[in-house]
Parts: sequence; C-alpha cells; structure tokens
Amino acid sequence: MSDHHGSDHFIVPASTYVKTFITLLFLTVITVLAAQFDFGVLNLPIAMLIALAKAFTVAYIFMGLKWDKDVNSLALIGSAFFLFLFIILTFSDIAYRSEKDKMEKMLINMESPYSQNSTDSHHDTKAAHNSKEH
Amino acid sequence: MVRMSLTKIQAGGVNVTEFIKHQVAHHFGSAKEEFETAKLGMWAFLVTEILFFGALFVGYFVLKYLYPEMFIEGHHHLDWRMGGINTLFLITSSFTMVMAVRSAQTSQKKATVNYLIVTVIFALLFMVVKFFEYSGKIHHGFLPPLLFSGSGVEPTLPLFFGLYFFMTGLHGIHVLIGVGLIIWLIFKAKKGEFHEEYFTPVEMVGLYWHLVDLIWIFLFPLFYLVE
Repeated sequence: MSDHHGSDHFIVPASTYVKTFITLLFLTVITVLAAQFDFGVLNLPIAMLIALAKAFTVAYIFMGLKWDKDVNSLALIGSAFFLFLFIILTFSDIAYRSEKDKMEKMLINMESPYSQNSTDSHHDTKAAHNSKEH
Repeated sequence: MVRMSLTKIQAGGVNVTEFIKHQVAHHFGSAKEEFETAKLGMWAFLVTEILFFGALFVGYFVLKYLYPEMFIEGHHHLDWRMGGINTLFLITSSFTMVMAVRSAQTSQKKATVNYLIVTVIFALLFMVVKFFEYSGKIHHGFLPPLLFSGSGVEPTLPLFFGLYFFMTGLHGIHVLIGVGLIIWLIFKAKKGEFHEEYFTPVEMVGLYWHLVDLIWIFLFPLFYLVE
C-alpha cells in the first residue's frame, strides 16, 4: 500500500498491467486458433470458456477488483449469477418443448392449454370446439 | 479538512500551481468515502449494463439453439479478420486506459493526457473497421428485417443479421459514448483536475471502457468464430 497521498489508493505497478495486456493478447490468439478446429458440440462451450477467462482477467486486474472492496466484486458476481439463472430458466423451457407431445401421452387426461391444434384430442372442451368448426 | 489535504499535496511533491485542488462534496466525510461511493455507484450502473446486454445474449443462445444452420450460414458472411483486428484495438485501448488511470493516480499530467489520446485513437480505429464492415453488409442487402434484400440459403437469415446489427450496433453506440467521455476527460486532464488526490472521473470512465471491452470479448467469438 502506498501512503504518500490522501486517498490511500493502491497504485498497481505498470508491469502488472503490461503482463495482463500480453495475457489478453495471448488468449485472443488462443480463441482464434481454437475456432480453426471443429470440436462439434463443444465449439460453443470452448469459445465461451476462453471468453470467460478473458473477462475475468479484465475485471480482476484492469477493473481493479483484486484490490477493491468486496462489495464491488459482489455486484459483478451477482449480475453474472442472475444472467446464469436467466439462461437456465429460458433453456429449461426452450430445450424441452419438442418433448411436450410425448409427455402428454404419458400423462393421461392431462393436456397443455396451449395445444390448440392437436388433432388427436378427445378432451370435452376441445371436442365442442371442433364441432363448432365443422 | 481542506487545509489538511492541501498540505498533503505539497508534502507529496505535487505542484499546486499545475493542478486544481478538488473540493470534497460537503455530504462526504472524506475524499476516500467520496471515491468509494462513486465507485459503488458506477458498479451498480455496470450491473444494469451487463443485464441489459445479457438479455440480448440469451436471445442469441435461444436463436442459435432453434436455428443452428442459420448461424452457420450467417457466420460465413462475417470476416473473422475484421473482428480479430477490432478485438486487438479494444484490448490495446483498455490497456492504455488503465495506464491513463495510473498516470492520474501518480500525478503525471502529460502521461495521463497522452494515454487518453491513444485510447481515443484506438476506439476510433475500432469504429472505422465497423464502418467498413457495416457498409459491406448493407451493400449486400443484409439490413434486417424489412429492408433485407440479400440472398441466402436459409430463410431465417434476416434473424441472424437482426441479432448481429442490434448487438454490435448497441456495442458501437457504447464505444461512441466512451469516445465522448474520454475526450471530456482529456480537456479536464489538461486543466490539471486529475492528480493523486482526485482521479474519480478517470477511474469511472475507465471502468465503463473496460466493460465495453468485456462485452466485445463475448461478441467476437459468438459472431465471428463459433460455427
């Protein structure tokens, strides 16, 4: 800690910033190189992992979270956590929609209120609805 | 309080004729308290920015899941070299920005101004590359969605370019706002407002600028690299 000025703010050595800069350039090269190979379904997760490593480096060193009060890190981690929830909840819906019909057949007499166009419906209200159309 | 910090400036060897003394707002107990309050406020703002862009990233993942072929085709319309060069520009500008903050913290007026100028130059270079990319895409009729006249195999291709233009465009607006803020800092730094006792605006614009870099770190692989 430096104590020669009023705000007692830690002055990060310039060499730390230079090393961080080189690390980020290195990770950028890795990102581009990794994209030249086809890892199949792992393409996206690998690219995201490298991006997360870069994002962490920027936030930890350049944005000074390493030397900051913990509450600032909490703000970033909190937003990342809620973004994660957003993705998980959205995909728990999107990724299983195609299974809807299969699940309906498994659960007798249970039908999604959204399946207005299903033709094999024997539900009372649905039958009444169909007879009106004919 | 005022007299105390003034003597500290003189004790630290700072030329008081070269720098303007900062007056701590009356509702803060100390300069440190003022700085940390500003910083927490800035982080609260950055959280809203992350969630704001986050919704668009969720949109990206949903569309990519639903229409993987569209993304493969759209991806081939983008030149990763352009995105790669822009990544280098933004990372370099992040580095010069952090050096500008450091120069302000150590009362190096000239270095602060110079690092800020270099940061603006890299930000503008980023926008120049973006301009050439955008004009190329618009020339090929890839403007979404009603203006779309480009030819593609996938019928959903306008969706891809809708995402591309919206996400990179919003990021581009952030870059331009950053350029404005840094130019504002350059004028203030020239007047000698930033020194070891007071560098809050430089630090806060720095945080904003790193966030703009951080968002590009995700945009670059998602649009230009991943198949």
